Amino acid sequence: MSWNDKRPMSPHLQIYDLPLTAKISIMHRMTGAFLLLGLFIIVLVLSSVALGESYWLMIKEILNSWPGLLVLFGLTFSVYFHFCHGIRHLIWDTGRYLEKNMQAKGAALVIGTSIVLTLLTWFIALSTGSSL
Amino acid sequence: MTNKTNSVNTHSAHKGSGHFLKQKFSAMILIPIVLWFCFSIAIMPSMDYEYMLLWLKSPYNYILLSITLITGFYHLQLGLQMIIEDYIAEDNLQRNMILMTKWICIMLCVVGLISLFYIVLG
Repeated sequence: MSWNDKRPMSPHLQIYDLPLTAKISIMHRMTGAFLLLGLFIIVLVLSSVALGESYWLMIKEILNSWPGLLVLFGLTFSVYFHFCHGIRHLIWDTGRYLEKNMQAKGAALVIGTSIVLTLLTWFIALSTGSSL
Repeated sequence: MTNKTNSVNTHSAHKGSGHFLKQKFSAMILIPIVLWFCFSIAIMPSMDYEYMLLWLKSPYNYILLSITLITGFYHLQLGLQMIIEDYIAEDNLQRNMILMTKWICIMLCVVGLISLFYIVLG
């Protein structure tokens, strides 16, 4: 059975192209949930350092592999995204910028800022390394 | 929904505003930590053991790290609770999942803090 009715179909979540504001609203939740992994990694690092050098070297090797670095990169982006969108929420809570024409601008600003902050952080971190 | 009196008050109808305020206050505490935290994650994989110990023993870092662990896990638990309340409709499962994530957050936080104190004092 195939769909050959030309009339517009009622929006359905799986096929409906959500507006940017809705997409980043979902991303706020996804990045938030993803940060469970972020804090888990922090705890993993701390406990390995507490256990001794060999344990830390083991964790370090995992973090330095490309999947490890990808996860860390994703985590910094998630923190920044959740941070920027969270600030947007806190501003909304004061009753400001709730107008419809501000929504797309705010969403674009959140995405732009979090990407810039992520790239800037990694650029500074990789160019200075642990020499700080 | 069979026995209303037996359901624990995980629903927002009872504690919604408290949850909202806790989430907002913990978020505000986390704001000034964000830049330092992301930068720390980015330099972490390049640290050798001696440098890591030095880094963790600096008061600036271990104080911010403790705040991150306590406030971060607190904020995370509140957020996970909200997600579970929204997507898990079945009362018992919802309650159990909230309890489980709460204990996971508490235990991870305690392990992190104990490790940190052990490193700083040792």
